[in-house]
Amino acid sequence: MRIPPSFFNAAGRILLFIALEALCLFLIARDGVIERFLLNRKIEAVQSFFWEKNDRARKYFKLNRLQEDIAGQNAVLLSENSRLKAIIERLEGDSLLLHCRNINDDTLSIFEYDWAKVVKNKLNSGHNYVILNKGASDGITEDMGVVTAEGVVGIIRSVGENYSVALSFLNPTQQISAKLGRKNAFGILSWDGKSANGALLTDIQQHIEINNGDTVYTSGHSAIFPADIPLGVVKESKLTSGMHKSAKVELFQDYTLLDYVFVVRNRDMVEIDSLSGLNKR
Amino acid sequence: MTGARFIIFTIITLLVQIFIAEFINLHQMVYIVITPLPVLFLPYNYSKSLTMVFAFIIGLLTDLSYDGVMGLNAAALVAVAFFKEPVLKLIVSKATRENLSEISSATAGKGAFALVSLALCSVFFLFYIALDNVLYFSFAYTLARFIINVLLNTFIIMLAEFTLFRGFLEKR
Repeated sequence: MRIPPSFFNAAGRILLFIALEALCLFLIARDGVIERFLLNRKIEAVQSFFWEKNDRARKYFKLNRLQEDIAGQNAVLLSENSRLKAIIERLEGDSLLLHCRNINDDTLSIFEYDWAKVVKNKLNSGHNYVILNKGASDGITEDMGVVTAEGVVGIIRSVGENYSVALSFLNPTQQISAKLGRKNAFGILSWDGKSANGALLTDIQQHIEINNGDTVYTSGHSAIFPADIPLGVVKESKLTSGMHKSAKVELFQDYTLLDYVFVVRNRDMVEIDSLSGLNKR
Repeated sequence: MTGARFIIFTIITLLVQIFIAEFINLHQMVYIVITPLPVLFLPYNYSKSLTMVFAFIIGLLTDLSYDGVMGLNAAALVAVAFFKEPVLKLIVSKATRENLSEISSATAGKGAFALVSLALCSVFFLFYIALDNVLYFSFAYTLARFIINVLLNTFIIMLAEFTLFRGFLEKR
């Protein structure tokens, strides 16, 4: 039987279609967002420059200056708050330290804060990020946390000289160690992938009672985010897979209104990383 | 449409797409896309394989030029190019197809063009949403996102074809 040439044409087209789709899937699987951030760091630095100019042009100069001052003061207050919390924890743990330690010792807190301004906030896809107006020249490094008083914004993933890119919490790959209210019931908080203020708290032990309206905080079981940052409130909870409970959480942070944020630096990050490396070996 | 005119049209479409993606954010669920237009307007008798390669390049340029997942627009546009011929065979009669230089409301008829646009938008968003939502699939959310985007973008393509691009396409 003779095979018509049109069959080969059609087969060729199908093979080409499969090959091109496979190539696209390969690119997607490489998590293109991060890859491209690294490759296009220079381009984005130029883009960020223009975005910032554009943003500044739209704002009244003095008001912008005032906001920066307030953000700077907030960063100082957060650092102070973190230092005082650390002092209280230590004094509660060992009252003998009360007489031995200089309570003004600034090194007690392992977290310190710096403020930054959001110059671009990508929100309309499943893979969102923010670009901040501070970079390596301001001491920003990869894997620093980004927070506000109302929750967690994301984690720094790419740093240029004057700008940095933080992968937003509104990303399917982002997970935060969280706790429920003051019960110290720990779980994993991740974006629900649907709305800008929806999240899911999972892996809560089934004997823990979850009530609607319970507040969710960062657990502190992370070298990136400090403990007790309020994240949101429980709206609904249920038992999943017969093993754990999960809860729908309404986030406090309105990601559409991000303007000034705080970058969290963990002073002990190098030591923690080296110990983690030691443990792996 | 001449080759030079088509290239200009494609570049304009890409620039408009970048502008839309950067500055027009209606809602998190909504993605306005006009890059299927050059693929749609490629002459019907143009090589189908080259149409797919062309769609792949346009898709990659879109992915590169603004912030999305690399390969997402490319995958969806290649699918549009691949299914363009079967969709046309289903909707447009053979006699009309044989006389088609390019697909538009003037050559294929308004109703047929609307159906072709709707079908190709469906193909685009079937691939786009399936790949974008692969990590957190929710049926209701995905279906709602699909329907909203297909209807909105079909409307936009029709509007663009009837108004903005009609004069440009008809000039020879």
